Formats: sequence, C-alpha cells, structure tokens
Amino acid sequence: MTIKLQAITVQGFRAYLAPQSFDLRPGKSLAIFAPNAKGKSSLVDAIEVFFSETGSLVRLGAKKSDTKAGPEALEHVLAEKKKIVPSIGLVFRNPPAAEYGEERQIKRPPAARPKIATDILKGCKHDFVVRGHELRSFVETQTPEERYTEVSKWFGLTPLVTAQKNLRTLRKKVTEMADDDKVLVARSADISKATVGGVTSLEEADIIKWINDVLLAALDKTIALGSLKRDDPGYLSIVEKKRIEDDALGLTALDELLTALRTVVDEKDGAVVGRARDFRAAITTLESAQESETNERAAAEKSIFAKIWLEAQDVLSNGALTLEQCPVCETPFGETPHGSRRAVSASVGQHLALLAAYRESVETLRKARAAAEHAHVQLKAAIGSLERLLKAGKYQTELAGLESYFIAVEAWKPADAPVDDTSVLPLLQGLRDKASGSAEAIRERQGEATFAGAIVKLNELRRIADSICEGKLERDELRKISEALECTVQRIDRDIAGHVASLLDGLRDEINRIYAKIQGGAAVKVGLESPDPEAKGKLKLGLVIDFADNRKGVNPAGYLSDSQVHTIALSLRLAAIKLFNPSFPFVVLDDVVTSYDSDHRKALAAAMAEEFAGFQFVLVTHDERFFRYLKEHMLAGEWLFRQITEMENEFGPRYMDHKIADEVIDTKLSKGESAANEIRQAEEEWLLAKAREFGISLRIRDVDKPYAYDRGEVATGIASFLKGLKIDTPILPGFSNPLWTSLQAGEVENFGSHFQDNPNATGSAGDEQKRWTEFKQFRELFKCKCGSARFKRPKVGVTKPLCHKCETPFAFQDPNGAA
Amino acid sequence: MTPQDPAAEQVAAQFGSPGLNAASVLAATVEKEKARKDTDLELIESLESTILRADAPDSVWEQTVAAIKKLALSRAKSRMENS
Repeated sequence: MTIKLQAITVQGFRAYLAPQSFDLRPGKSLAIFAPNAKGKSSLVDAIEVFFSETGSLVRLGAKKSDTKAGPEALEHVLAEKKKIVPSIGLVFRNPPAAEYGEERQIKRPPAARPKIATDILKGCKHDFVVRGHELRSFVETQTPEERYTEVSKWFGLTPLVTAQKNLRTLRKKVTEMADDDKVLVARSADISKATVGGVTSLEEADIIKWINDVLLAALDKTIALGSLKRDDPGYLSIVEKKRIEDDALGLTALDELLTALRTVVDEKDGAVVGRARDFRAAITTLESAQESETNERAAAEKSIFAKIWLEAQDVLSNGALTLEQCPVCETPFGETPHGSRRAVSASVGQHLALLAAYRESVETLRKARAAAEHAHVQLKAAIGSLERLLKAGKYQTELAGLESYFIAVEAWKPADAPVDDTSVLPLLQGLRDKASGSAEAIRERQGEATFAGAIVKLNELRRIADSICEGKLERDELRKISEALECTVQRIDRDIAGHVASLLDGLRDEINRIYAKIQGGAAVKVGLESPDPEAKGKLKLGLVIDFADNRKGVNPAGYLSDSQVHTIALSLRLAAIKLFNPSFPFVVLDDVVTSYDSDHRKALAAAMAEEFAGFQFVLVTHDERFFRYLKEHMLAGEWLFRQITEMENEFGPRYMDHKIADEVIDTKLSKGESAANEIRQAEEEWLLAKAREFGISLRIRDVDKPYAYDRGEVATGIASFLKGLKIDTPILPGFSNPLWTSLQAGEVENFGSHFQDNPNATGSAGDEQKRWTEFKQFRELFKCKCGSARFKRPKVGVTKPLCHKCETPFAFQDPNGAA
Repeated sequence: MTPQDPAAEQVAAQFGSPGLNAASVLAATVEKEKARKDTDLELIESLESTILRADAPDSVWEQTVAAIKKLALSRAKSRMENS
C-alpha cells in the first residue's frame, strides 16, 4: 500500500496568517489557482518546510538569520503580534492503518523534523517538490557543472558530489601549499642575516662552504666541516678547541661555579629561586601541615569509634526503620544526652565530618614531609657541588661565611625548625654576581673570533639549515600527497560516475516516455550523459538529444524550443519521482506550465492522468486555463480545486468558496474602515451563485483577456439570460448601482470610477456605504414572493428558473416594495 | 507504469538501499580505496574522518587542511631523523 496525504493545515506561515485547512481525504489531489502574489506558493513552501531537515526552504537558506531572509521569512509578519503560533500540520494515511499526523512549528532555532516526515522520506529517494522556476534555471542558465550538482541533489547524491568536490578542492589546496615558498624565503633571509650576506641560497653545501672559508678560516685553517651534523669530525674538533680555550682562560671553572651557584640561588622574573628557596618553602608548608594535623587530631580525638558511628549513622538516617534506642549502646534515645534520635544522628554526622577533616590533614602532612625531605636532598647535593668548587677555587673567605649554613642544612631533620638562610642568601648572590662578572670580562677580552663564538654561530646556522631541510621535505611530502589525492580522486570519480550512470540509464526510458507524452508527435530522444570519470576538470552532466540522424548527442539549447527544453527538465523530475518514490506517490508542482501553450498544458494534464495514475498531486498555478482544463478533465472525486480570489495581509489567501458575511462588511463600514474588497467579493459570490442557479452559460472569453472572471462579465451573462426570457430589469429611480446598470444595459460594468481592478484601491467611505446599501436592495429584488432567495435551473418545458422552495418561475420583486 | 507495477518495483529495488543511499555508497567507496595496496592509507584515513564523510560539518576544511599539514610535517620529520 502507499501513503496518501489526507489534510494540510497552515497558520502564521508565509502568506497564511489565520488557520486554513485543506481536506484531501481519502487522498485527493489538490489544485490551486491564483494570480501572482496571492499566496499560492505558500502551501508548497509549507510542504517543503514540513519535510525539510533544516526546517527552512532551500531557496531561503538556513543560515541567513542575520539578514532576516532565513527562517524569519517563514513566519507571517503579523503572527507574533496576533499571537498565532506559526505551524504546519500534515495528516497522512497508509491504508489499512489509521490516519496519523504531526505538526511542525516554525521556531528559531528550527524545531526538529517531524518523525512522520523522516519516516516517509526513508522510502522516498527523490525530492517530490518540483518548482517551475528551478526547471527554467536548469535548462536556461545552469552550466553543465551546476546541472550535475542539481541532478545529484535530485537523486540524493549530494554527499557523493560534495565528497568529489572536496577532494578536488583539497588537491588544489595541497598543491598550493606545496608550492608555497613563504617559509623558505624567510629562512633564506635568516641565512643571509646570519652570514652577513655571505650565503643567499638554501643549499647546505653553500652554508658549509661559508663556515669553512669565513668562520673557521679566521680561527684555525686546519679545521673544516664536512656536514652540519653534531658528530661531524670538524665540529667535534671545534668543541675540543673551545674546551681548551676555556680551560686556559679559566672560563670552564667559572662556568661550573656559576652553574652550581645558580642551582642553589638564582633570580627569575624578579623573584629569588633555586634549591635554597625551594627547601625553605617546603619547610614552611611542612610546619603549616603539622599545625593543621595537630589541631584536627585534637578535634577528632573523641571520634575514635568511626566505624561504629558510620554504621550507626546508616541505621539512624534510615526513615524506614523504627528505632527507639541507640543501636550501639542500646540506650533509649530519650535518655541520651542528646535527647532524640534526630539529635543523636546529627551528632554522629558531626563526628564523622571531623574524622574526615583529620584524615585529610594527615594526608597533607605526609605529602609535605615527603616534599621537604626531597627538597633537603636536592639542596644537600647542590651544596656539596658548590662546596667542592669553592674549595678548588680561591674562594676560602666566602666558604668560611657559608660553612655554618652548609652544616645546618646537612644536619636538618623533618622535626627541626627551618634553617636560617637570611644572611647566607645575599652572600651566595654576591658570589654569583662576582663569578658572572669575571666570565663576562674574560669573554669581552677574547673578542668574537673564538671557538665559543664559532660554536654559537654554528648552532644558529644548524637550526636554520634544519628548518630549511624540514621545509623542503614537507613540500616534497605535500607533493606526494597531492599526487596520491589525484589518484584517489580519479578512482572515486570513476566509482561515483558509474553510479550516476546507472541511475541515468534507469531513468532514460521513463524520461523519454513522459517527454514524448507532453511534447507529442515525433519527440526527439533525450539523453543524459554521465560525467567523464577520466576528466580531471569540473564535474559536468551533459544534457543531450538526438535531433536528427546527422545531429545526434547535441545540446538541446541549440535545437529545441524553450518549452521543449523545459519539458525535458520536467520529464526528468517526474520520471525520478515515479521511479524512486514508490511508497509515497506524491508530487508537488509549483507553476510548471508557464512556458506552455494550450496544447502542451492539455498534454501535461493527460500525462498526469495516464502516466501517474495512483499518484497524488498538489499543484499550484497562476495559469487559469490550465486550472480550468484540469477541473474539467480530472475526476472530480479525485481532485479538490480551489481558487484564491484575494490576498489579505491580516488573514491570508481568501479562497473563492470563502463567503463574506454581510455582518463583516456592515461592521467594517460602521467602524469607518474600507470594505471595498469585501463588497467586491460579496458581489462576485452573489452573482456567481445566481448564474449557477439560473444555469447560465457564460461566453468563453478571448485568450488575450485578463485571467479572471469579473463581476461585469457575470452580470452581462445574467442580463443576456434575462433578456432572452423577456424579463426586463426594472428601472429604479435614484438607483445608480453599477451592477444594476450593467444588468439593464447588458454591458460589462465600468470599474474605472472608484471600484478599480486594483484590490487595494478604495472609494470614499460614503461611496462604499452607498454601493453596499444598493447592492443589498437589488439583491432583495431577486427573491421569490415566498421569501426564498434560492432558485434552480428550469425543468424540461419550463424556460424560467424556478424557486427552490415553491417552484414559482423567477420574476423581479416589485421595486417599490424592495425600495 | 504505476508505483505498484512490477517494473517500478524492480527499478525501486535496484535503486533502493543502498543504491541511492549516498552515505553508504561513499562509505563503500572509501573502504574500497582503503583496501587497495597502492593507497596512501594514512591519507585516506585522515580524509575519512574529515571530508569523506556524508555528514561532514562546515568546519571540515579547517580540520582537513590541518590534518594534511600535520601528516606532511610528521613524514618530513621522520625522514629527517632517518637521514
């Protein structure tokens, strides 16, 4: 069985403000006719949004909230003011199951897609909403690349095409990255700066040559580098020369002493750091932890029965248990010092909390003690090194000042007070500054041409050379990745192209059947050419025809008319829906006959009836002739035809069968508001009803006339009918109603005065009131003597319409009585 | 041919799951690519978690380019270490 749409309800959405429903039971198709800008496409929009994953329309986009052109555009502009919740409700039935429906509210952020829509779409591979404007752009403006994207969307292949495009774009980006030489240009500048313009290339050989010819030649011409590696014999030789150089100058000893001093005490960001300071901080933390542990121990002293209390608390706090006495000591609660079960329970809780705090302080103390011991070991090691270096050097005076501190540190134990370092730290800092100053002075005397300086320069050049090497290898790897991507792209393209080709093959026959049905005669053979998997350029979909024996596989745009190409696109969509949506035979057609002449409109209607039996359509059109043709030829029981007559911003589209009550007009006029549109509609409704009752055949107008009936035309029809029956329209003194005049003269009413064709144009309030009063008066003249306002068509042998109630032949009422 | 026609059902079956299920097709294509001997597996796995996903988010490009750069850099470093 297949799913059928049973009803649509829309409110606060697009053109629809007030709630409006369309009952399509048991699965009727729906055709709506309206001129442009009357809200007919809003119903198509409602269906699209109901099924949309993003809760929006494709043409609006989902991410344009900043421009108010996104989801905001879905809400009727007055919905918020009128407190109408914008929503779309659809009801479905899949016989023999019962009806099921869901509502989708228009929200920001959008509400999730209704489950029913998701379920239906699972068996629905092709987008069933066909918009005329999309078809036109498909054939008229889209490039083969865009067409491929579009067709892929129709077939639900978008993720594949996106992947294809992404791979292609990525390959391009990777190639660009591989060709990007910004990093290497920067490194080249670094090399040039480091060699004072001596090297401008990125070649390692040039760098080594400069080091040997310029840097090392000035120091020792017997040393030369073979490479920039750290184990290069030349480099190792330089390192050894530097050590000898440092030893000779005393720099080695000074550097060692400085390192030892800085380990014990140093400065960083304005703060004193080093192991002496770490030790002092660790002891301070330890003291604090000891004090805290002592306090917590005292507080928890009485809480030694933790385990018993813990179990007692569980029992005491269990409201389900009836207890009269303490579960531990069996003392009745009333006789305990706390006096009640609740107070005993609270006391136990307090004790347990104290125990928890104590446990925490013990753990903190353990950690602080371990940290202090660690800091002590570290400081002792540093002091040992420092003491050895001071003894080896000529620092006996300084050593004497430090000895008592060294002894105190060595002897310190965790229970002891902190070692006083207040006088020692300045001494150590002074010693450090002195050693540092001596080293600096020696280096200054040495000048730049030293092995130490050469090593610094070599290290700098090595870093730059490494960066260059890394950059070159990265580019090389990117090129390899680009090549690998190229191969992957081609293989994936081939896979996807094969898939697309199989889809297109399956569709081709169906497209041609539908196309031939609509175009008739000797329709050309339509073909869709799959993208060439070997093509490395953009993905294209060829739309071709076999126009003649010597014009096969040619572009239709060069040979076919606009409507023929339009038919190709429409056939493609309809064929895809027919083949790919078997569980939901449903098609929405939004203005798809714009470019068709009368024969093509008829052919499309015939194709819908013959090729799509069992399908349900929702069709909107502004082509009245197509609408009327469908109305005449489609089975009435299977279709619902609705015609929008007006578009009211404060209501929504007004349909032809929407009756305007006299009260609505009377109320508006009494408030001083314009009721021109309502009066127009009331007149039309009354005239059409009367024409139907009388069985009047209206003359079919020329095709170049405006789209709609107008009341003058209907009035003329009634006038001709009455004249044929020799029933004169009475003359009413002072009565100037244009409709009445039209009836008398048998001419189309001239609307040029104040009831213009523009529905927004109005006459003065007085004019409107006068016209409405007169209309109601002459309406009375059409009543039967029995008071009935309804007539029916004449019977055989009777020429005049008969009263629906008493079957008296029609005659005008006495005008004097009516007046 | 109506939706209930055997021909329609045949076509529907042909193009039904996974024929028109783009995500499945994409996943199968990627798997096929990974199974090849000459495929850069590391590259494909990197793309599998970025652009070769049917539900790839909008931020996919940033991730993809970063992943490719990271891959190229790690290979370059590895070659430097081994040289």
